[in-house]
Formats: sequence, C-alpha cells, structure tokens
Amino acid sequence: MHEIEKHLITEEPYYSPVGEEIAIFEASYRNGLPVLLKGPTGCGKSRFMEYMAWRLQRPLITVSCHDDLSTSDLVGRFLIRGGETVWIDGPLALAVKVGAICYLDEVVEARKDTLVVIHPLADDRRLLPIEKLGQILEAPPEFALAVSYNPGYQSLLKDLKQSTRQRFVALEFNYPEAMHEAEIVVRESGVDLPLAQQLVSFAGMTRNLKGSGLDEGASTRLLVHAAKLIQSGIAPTVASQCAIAQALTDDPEMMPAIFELADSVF
Amino acid sequence: MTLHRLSAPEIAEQLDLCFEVEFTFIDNTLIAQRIAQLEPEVQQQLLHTARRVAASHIQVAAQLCTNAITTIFAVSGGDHTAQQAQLLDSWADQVMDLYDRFGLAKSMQMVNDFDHFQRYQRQETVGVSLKEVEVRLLHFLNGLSGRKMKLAPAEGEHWSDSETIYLPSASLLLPQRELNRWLYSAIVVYHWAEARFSTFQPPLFARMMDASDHLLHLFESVNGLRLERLIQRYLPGQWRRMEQLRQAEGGGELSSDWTQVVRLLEEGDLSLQTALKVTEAWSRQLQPLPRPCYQGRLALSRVAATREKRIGEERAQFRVSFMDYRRQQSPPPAMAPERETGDEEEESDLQWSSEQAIATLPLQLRPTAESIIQDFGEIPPEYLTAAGPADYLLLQQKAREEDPGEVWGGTYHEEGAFLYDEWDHRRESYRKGWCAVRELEVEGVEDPFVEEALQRYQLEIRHLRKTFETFRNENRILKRQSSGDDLDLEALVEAQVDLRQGRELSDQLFIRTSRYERNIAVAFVVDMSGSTRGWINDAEREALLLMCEALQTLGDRYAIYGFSGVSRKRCDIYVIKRFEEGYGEAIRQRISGIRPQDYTRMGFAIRHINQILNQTGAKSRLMITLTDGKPDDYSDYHGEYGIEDTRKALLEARHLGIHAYCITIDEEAKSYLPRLYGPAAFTQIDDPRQLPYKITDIYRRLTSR
Ligand SMILES: Nc1ncnc2c1ncn2[C@@H]1O[C@H](COP(=O)(O)OP(=O)(O)OP(=O)(O)O)[C@@H](O)[C@H]1O
Ligand SMILES: [Mg+2]
Repeated sequence: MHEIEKHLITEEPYYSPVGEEIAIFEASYRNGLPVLLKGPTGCGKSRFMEYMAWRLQRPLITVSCHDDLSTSDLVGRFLIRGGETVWIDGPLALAVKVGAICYLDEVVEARKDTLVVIHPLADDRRLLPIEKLGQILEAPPEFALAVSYNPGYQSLLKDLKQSTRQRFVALEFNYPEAMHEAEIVVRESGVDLPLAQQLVSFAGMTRNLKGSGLDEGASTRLLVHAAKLIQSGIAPTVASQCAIAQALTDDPEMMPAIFELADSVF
Repeated sequence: MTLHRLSAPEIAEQLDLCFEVEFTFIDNTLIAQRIAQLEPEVQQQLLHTARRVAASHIQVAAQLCTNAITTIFAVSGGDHTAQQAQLLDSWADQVMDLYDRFGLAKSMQMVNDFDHFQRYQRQETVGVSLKEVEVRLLHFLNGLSGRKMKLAPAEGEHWSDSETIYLPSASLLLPQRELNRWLYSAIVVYHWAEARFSTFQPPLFARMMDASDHLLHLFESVNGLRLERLIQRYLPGQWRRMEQLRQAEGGGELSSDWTQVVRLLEEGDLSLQTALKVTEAWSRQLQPLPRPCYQGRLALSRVAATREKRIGEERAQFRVSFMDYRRQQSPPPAMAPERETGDEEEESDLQWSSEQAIATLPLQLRPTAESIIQDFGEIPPEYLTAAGPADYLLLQQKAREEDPGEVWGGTYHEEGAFLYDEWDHRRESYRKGWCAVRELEVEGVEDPFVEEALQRYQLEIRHLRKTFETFRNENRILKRQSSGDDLDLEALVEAQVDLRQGRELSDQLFIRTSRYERNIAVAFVVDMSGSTRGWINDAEREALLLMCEALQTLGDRYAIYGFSGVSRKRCDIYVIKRFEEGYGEAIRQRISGIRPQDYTRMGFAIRHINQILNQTGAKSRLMITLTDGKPDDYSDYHGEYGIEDTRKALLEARHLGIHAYCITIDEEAKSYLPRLYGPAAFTQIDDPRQLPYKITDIYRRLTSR
C-alpha cells in the first residue's frame, strides 16, 4: 500500500481562493457528491485540486483524459508477468480502494463510452463495477471524484453528455480580478507588484481579443511563465512575446498586433 | 521574342474595342498616334492597363491613358521603361480603388492630378498604406480595453466619432517606414484614449459646443496633453513611441506656460473637468500648440450625434438586462456607482476604480456598463430604475434595423454583414470587402413533401443505411498486444505450446481494438437561385433528405447552407442546418422549405463556407456544392467574371485544405466547366432525378478510406 503514499501531498500548495470554492468543495466532499470544475485553461483548477487534497489529507490521483483512453485504462487490466496473469488496478479503481481523490482532467477529451464507467460512481450508489473480475467496488466515504472541463473550446463533438454532467456539483473558475491575479503572479514568480500589474494588464488585452481573432486570452499560467522569465533577466517585452504571444496564436496578422500591445504596456 | 512596334491604326483598333467606341464615341486617334511613338513594351503595357481599368469604367480608362502619355511617358527612355511600367500599374490600382470606394468623381480626380498620385506614390518607399496594416491595427485596437471601437477609411485627416476611428488611406508624413507604421498605431491609441479617458462627457458638450474657435483649439491642445499623460501612465511603451514621433516631426519643448498647464492637469488628476477649467482660465495667455501628427481634430457635433444615439440605446439595453438580472438575483447586488467626491487618499486611479464598479455586475452587462461609464463617468441613477415600455420599443426598433431581412428597408448599411473579397479577373486583383454577406434562416414548411419523399425512397434509405454502416468508425483489431481488452486465444495457444517446450512465455497475448474515428466535417452548399425552380429544386431537396437520413447512420458532422443573392450588396446565405444542430423534424421542414430565390453569385458562398468549415477543426473538411450550372448575378457577375471569381474561391478552399466537390445538374456539357471547377473535382448530372442516388454514391466514394 506504500504505492499510494506518493500521491499524498505533504506540503501546503499555494492556492489563493477566488470565491467560495473551498467551502463548496468541502461540503460536497462531506456529502459524497462529485465535483465538476469548469473554466478556461490555466486558471488554477489543478492547483485547487492539489490544495484540496492537501487540506483534506487524501491522496490525489490525476488522470489526464485523451481520446484513446479506454475503460481498462481507468479500471484496470490483466497483464502477464513471468508466466502468470496478474490483475493491475487502474487509477480509478486504486482511488476507490484507498479512498483517494480521483481527478479526471479535461474529461471531454475522453470518449463518451469510456465515461460511462464513472456513472454509477458519480451518483448515490458510489459503485465501481470491475467487469473483468466480476467485482463491484463500493467507494468508502473518503473517496471523491472530481472532473474538469473547459467550456471555452466550443467543439461541438466535445460536449459532456447531459447524463454525465447532471451528476456533478459544478464549480466555475475564472481568471481572478486584476489586483488578485497580480498578487498571484508576484507570489509564484517573485517579480515586483508594479511589473505583475503590467503583465496582468497585458493579459487583459489579450482576453479582450478572445472571440475577435483569438480563441483564448492569456491564462494566469502564461503570466506566471512570463514573470519567471523576467525574473531571470529577460526583458519584459521579450518575455511577453515568447511566453505569452507566441503561445496564443500563429496568425501572421494577430502576432504583430499582440507584440505591439506588449510594447505598449511596458 | 522581341515585340514589334504597333502602328497608330493598329493601336486605335484595339483601343476602340476596349473603350467600346460604338457606344461611347470616344475618339482614339490622338492617343493612338502618341502611343505609336512609344517602345513596344510600353505600348503593350498601356493597352493592358487600358483594358484593366476599362473593366471598371471606360471614361476613367481613356483619361488615364491620355494623362499617362503626358506624364509618366513624357520622357521615353530605355532604362526607365520598367520603372515607368510599375508607376503606371500602381496609378491604375489607386484609381480603381478610389472608384470602388468613393465613385467616379474621386477616381477622376486622381486620374487628372498626377502630382497628387505621386504624393501617394511615396507610399512605395517610406509610406505605409492602411490596407497593409488595417487587420493588425484592428486586432490591436480590439485588445485595448473599454468600448469596442471600429476602424474605417477617412477621406482626409484622421478623426473619430467616439465609436469609429477614421484613418487616412496612407501614412507618409514621416521620413521612415517604421515611423509611419508607428504613426498609425499612435493615431489609433490617441483616439482610443480620447474616448476611453472620458473626453466625451456632458461637461465637454456644455462648455465647448458653442465655444469660439480659439477656445476649442486651445482645449484640443490642453486635452491632448492630458491624454498623453494618461497614455504615459497606462501604456508607457506606446507613449515613448509617441515622443519619438513628435521628435521626428521636429516638435519642440513646451514653453514655461504650458509646463505650468501640465502641472495643473496632473494636480487635478488628469480629469476632463480640470482640462476644461484650465482651458478657460488660460484662454487669454495661451495660443493653441501645433498639433502632433497623431492628434486629430475634435469633431464635436459628430461625436454628439453618435453619442446621443448610443446613449438612448444603451440606456434601454442596460435597464432591460439589469431588470432581468435582478429578477433572477435577489437580493439585488450592491451597485457602487463610481465617483463619490472627497475620498482622496491615494491618487485615484481611473482604470482600476471603474473596473471595480463593473466587476460587481454580471458578465453580460459589463461591456454596456463600461461604455456607459465612458460616457458619464458613472452609471447614472436613472439607469437602475425599472425599464419602461419606451425602452422595449427602442430595443425592438433597433433589432428590426439590424434584421438582415430589412437591408433594403430604411437606410442601407453594411453593419452586421460579413464582408468578403471578390476576384476581378480583368483587374487581376481582389475587390476588397466587396460582397456584403448575411446569414438568413430558412423558414421550415410543414407539407407532405418530406413524407412523400421518405416514402418514395424507403428502399434506398434502408440500403444506404446498411452500406454506410459498414464504414462507420471501423474498429481495427490489433492482435498480439502486451495489454488489451481481451485475450488473444490464438497467441495463447501458441504460448502454451512454447511453455511446454520450455521456451519463454511471450507476454503479447492480448487483443486491443483500436478505433478509427472518422473525423469528417462536410458542408453541403445548395444553389437556391431562381433558375433552380421546378425539377431541380425538387431534386435538390430530395437529395438532401436522403443524404441526411444516410448520414444519421454514419455520424459525420454535416451542415447544409443555401445561397443566392441580388448584387454584391445583398449576398444571402440560407441556413438550413448548422453543424451543431441535430437532424430532426425541424431540419426536415427547413429542407422542405428551400425555395428558389434570386440570382447565382457563387464566390461569396464558397468563401463563407470555407470559413465555417475551417472553424470545425475537423481533420477532413469537405464542401459539396449543388448547382444548376453557371454562376450568374444580375448586372455585374455575368460570364467570365463570375466564372473566374468562383474558380478563385475554389482555389482558396484548396489552400485552406478543404476538399471541394461540385455537382452540376445540367443537360448539356458546358465547355467552361473544367475551367470553372478546375481546382475542385466535379461531376455532371443531366437528369435531376438521378441526383439523390448520385450524391450519396459520391459521398460514399469521397469519404471511404
Ligand atoms: N487561484 C490561484 N492561486 C494560486 N495559483 C494560481 C491560481 N490560479 C492560477 N494560479 C497559477 O496558474 C498556474 C496554472 O494553474 P493550473 O495548472 O491549476 O491551471 P488549470 O486550470 O488546471 O489549467 P488546465 O485546464 O490547462 O489544466 C498555476 O501553476 C499557478 O501558478
Ligand atoms: Mg490542469
């Protein structure tokens, strides 16, 4: 069982709450309700999960979903080792057995037929059937299921089925307010506040462009990246170009426009 | 190959043809004599240009040729020929561009004023044209905060009405290209700042509307300094560039009086009120400063008109949405309109503070609130009262104005339309933003058509479902894997044998199914022009129904659009099924409701669908057009023009990685088809009744692996 130890988070992760998400998550946890984290990329969803796992003192098992993810990848499979067949638990089964928090990142990326396995786990039955073993695992109260999803990518194929999404308590995440975001950037990178504010105001400009040429504006994550580069001696405009502008688009007209916004801010 | 020099009569003959002298009675003898003396290359060039411009306007072309001989070609010189040719080319381009945008008078002006053109010509070396930078500038402007603003070409100097920034078609004041490019951005930033940093608020109109010229110009200077300080605060990088621009212009230091003014402005927190107060107090001592190149004149009355219209609409909009929001949300949110007087702890910060007020509002209300705060500095208390019938009426009226169906009613404007370029083969260039394209909904019709068709094609549908079934998301079975969903029995048996014989046991004993996902998006584009009336329209509708039924099994993403139009100002795309809509009764009724409309302008439809397909992000993107043949719109899309534009649009599709396939329903094999559909694959069907069978068959072939 020491395998699971490595999923325990021992040091308090830095997470600065934006609203009441901590209280809501705790209440859901105590009531055995699964949670859906909605929000754009890089706005602190993963960090929040780390923080909650630490706070609740449960191991955190994260699965990044992709379209080749099969039910066996989640639940487990037989392997042959030295002439014997052995059963290996998948991350979901493992989390249920040890009462961990299982976090399925970007669930929409997973195929719909794969996601069906979480249905009995995500309603009041809290059961995980393992077909190949003919077993049904019952989740202990310590177990929690959380999934994340970014509603911004308006891909029509990639929408959660109603029967999936209606099982979750939804928490909406967004970029923090300007001053708050600047503080996060300071804390994460060590740059000084005025510079962090300039970065945030630049991020605001790229967010204004969302929908008129950009699919997404700069995330808090990108700001932290740029700030770290600056802290290591790269000029702010250059850091904004490589860490932010280039990450946002390849469009030959959009790129210089964003460069110029960066040039204007610093 | 050396060209031979054309004689005057030969030239005259060509020009006569080009200028349609039978109708225009233009006398070409004199021009022809002059051209006859030029080098053969120059002759060819002139004739070519004449044809190009004549495609837009014959008189303009004739005049341009005459003038070119006395200006560009006045000195005939061996070495200069290439340069001269280039000069003529760009002159022609400018002239045609003006003709497209402002009409005959303006383009004639350019034809008759070679010096004027040469000033334009500086563009080639140090100048920057609006065309080159406008997309970038618009992105840049969109990135700046506050009310969304637009860009448009100005006829003269730059100015703004607080919603649109009007820019000159070229920037060539400064001696370097880089600086001229900066100048464009600086102009945009300046006008943005004007609106963003509350220049256009009530006190301005109260105090300046009837002011003397001197006072107004003085205010422009004071306000300019105020805005520069604000830009320095929020966009320091931009401000540094503006400083460089002023230096390049030879702008000097401020006099001590003006330095004093700046100090007063800063003490008054750079507010509009302070700027007005200072202007009035100093009006005797001071003369207006020379305007820096990025600063525009204040167009007070035009701003006032735009503002008045906007205020009414936004008030109504805000009240109505705020009511809605309140109804959902009780207790009501704490609204904290900005600007309580007196609390002057830190230097109050325009941007942060209004942002905080706005942050308490729900997302959908914020843009309107931002715009209102720009107009008033706060959300006026009466905006928070209940919406009255007048508000709803105003919104309804606005919605009606914007209704695409009403383009021809009332004042025509291109607002809300997608603008697409169109290829003019005679000019060998795109006409920019030429087609105003709107999406309209097809009204569903409840009639027996659907039922009858489904009945009639019952057997085919069943058959189609079966064939399509076989190649939907094929599962490929991978054997002998080291992990998988099932045991590979064959491998297991072999392994047992190996084991018995003392050999090592393989661990590759599993079967894994790997799914091949069809990642296809297909758009069907249907000709809804008047000429499809009757048989063809029926066949199109039946074919679409059949296709939909079959595609249900396959699960590919698909959309159906129709197109038709009357002239470039009214290009209609009819929405029958969007990608995100599911197939069902509503869609069947819309298919049934497809009715022949007007003419066939095709290029815009292909371009619009290109955009839509590209947004799907599907791995394979397919466009299947159904037409009855030739692209044809009344007046300007006849014959070759239409064919060449359509061809160009299909080429664009290919560059975007879209597979275009055209199905033409026509009895006779037309000679132009291979040229037209050259960039795409196409098939021709002579009997409309075959269409439903053909289309499904084609689809199967196109999408099977
Ligand atoms: N509220 C917050 N408190 C602390 N750090 C934050 C916060 N929000 C964002 N961050 C910073 O942003 C970075 C990215 O956040 P995170 O990785 O959690 O994003 P995410 O929402 O999970 O994105 P994705 O959807 O792309 O996985 C973090 O590493 C952290 O530096
Ligand atoms: Mg994450």
